[in-house]
Amino acid sequence: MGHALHEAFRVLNPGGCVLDIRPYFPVSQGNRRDARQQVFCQVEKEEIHVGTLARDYVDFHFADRVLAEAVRDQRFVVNCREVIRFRYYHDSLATFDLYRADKWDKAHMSVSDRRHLERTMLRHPATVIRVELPVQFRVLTKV
Amino acid sequence: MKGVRVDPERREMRLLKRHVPFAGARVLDIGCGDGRLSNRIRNWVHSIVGIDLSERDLRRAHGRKLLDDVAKFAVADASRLPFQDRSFDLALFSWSL
Repeated sequence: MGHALHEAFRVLNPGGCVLDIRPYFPVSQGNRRDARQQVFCQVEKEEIHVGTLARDYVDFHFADRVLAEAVRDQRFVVNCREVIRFRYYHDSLATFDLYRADKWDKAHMSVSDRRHLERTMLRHPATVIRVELPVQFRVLTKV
Repeated sequence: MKGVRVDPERREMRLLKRHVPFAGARVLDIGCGDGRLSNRIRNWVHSIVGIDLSERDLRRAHGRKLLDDVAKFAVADASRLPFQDRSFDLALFSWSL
């Protein structure tokens, strides 16, 4: 991220912008369960929280630090910042597992959470699996 | 991927529309992956160049059949961008670290 941001600064026109969209796992929240990716089963209008996907957050913390330094060094100014809940919907356990293997291969689900998910899917076969994660959205302008 | 819906509420798109100056912009999508975001914004911008180190993801981006005159994709290293100084208006880091 450090070199890439330096290169982005170089190829941007004066007044150009960087748009940074990333999962938001600030260092202040550590590995808190409520700050991870959350997994729900949606059974019609009811939602059942079945567990979390945890991962190593070092890369995210490093990226946060790099961007903070770029702002402190007055290479960029922050125009706006928002955090949203980004959602994925999986129609089956099979698609959830495939997507995990492809996109979230670094994320870990505990054995007890996995059992909870499987039991819920067995009880409610028409369940949609919803995964939510906090995503930070920032626009920075080149000074 | 079939059976998976990503942000169907389009919260991301609403934020982008509200805060990002896309109109007429020359955009560099750094770590574009399979071109998901490039695909979503292609109608709002002048041009997009997506780069990624993963050839597999770039094949997926090409599979989205983006307009060739607007979007181009290439294998490139973000730490040594093969572009001249001051050649873009907007750089995207979308889920890239």
